[in-house]
Amino acid sequence: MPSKLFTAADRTELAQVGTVLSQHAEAFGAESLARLFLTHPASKIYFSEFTDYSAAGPRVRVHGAKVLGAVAKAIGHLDDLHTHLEPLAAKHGHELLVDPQNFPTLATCILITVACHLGEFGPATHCALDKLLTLICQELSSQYR
Amino acid sequence: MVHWTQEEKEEITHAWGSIDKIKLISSALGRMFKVYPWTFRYFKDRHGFTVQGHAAKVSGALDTAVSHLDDVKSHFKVLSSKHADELYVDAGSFHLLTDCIIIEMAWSKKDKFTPHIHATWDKFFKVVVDAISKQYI
Repeated sequence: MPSKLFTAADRTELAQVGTVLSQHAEAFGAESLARLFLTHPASKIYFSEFTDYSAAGPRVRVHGAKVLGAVAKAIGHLDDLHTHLEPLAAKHGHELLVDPQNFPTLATCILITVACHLGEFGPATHCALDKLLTLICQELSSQYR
Repeated sequence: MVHWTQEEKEEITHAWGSIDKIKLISSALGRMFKVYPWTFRYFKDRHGFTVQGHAAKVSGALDTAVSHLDDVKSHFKVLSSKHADELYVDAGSFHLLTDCIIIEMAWSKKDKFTPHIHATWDKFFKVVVDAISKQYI
């Protein structure tokens, strides 16, 4: 059953954004993480073995690709996000133990990165992506206790 | 007291002086009302409210902050009391507008809004939000 959380307009916006995110997952992901590390230096604790926290850092690029790749993939699962994200939720909640407050912070950095690179990032596109990222954050936070 | 590097101060004063502030903040307000619709509740019954009019007020307050980077808190005391005691704006919501201002800056500056420049403005708006929240308790 289609989720009522996303309107038809949201789905159109997200389909377009999803194409761009898939094409630039590594670059956008690395930049989002670089923004996170500069604005919230405490987040580096989860990557304490990295030596280069800039967007050019090889390990930042690998991890960035994973994160943005997962966001792009989630766009194809708007109607079953909960099931789709369950393995990632379990991983973050049982194994990685990332403080869930970091998820919305990284989401903000992703939005800013997207704003820097998209030709259009008006309120409707921003709203649709923010809705998706908010839901992803909630799902990733759901198996801690 | 906030510690600013010379680089941060120069970026803030230079960039703030070279943008169309009313346009930027008007767009940010419009964006905020779309992305965080509950924020419009503070404005919908305000007599004479216009987006541009409110953008002018916000712009004026940010001018004050930019001109007094070393002591934003004292210069925001009256404004903070007004938001706390008269307007009853939830202090947890101020960042919603400043987040939208940052997005507008990012979109207009494109790849010139580097992670370092972004971090400077993130810091500036954290200081502003802290200052406007100060009189709440």
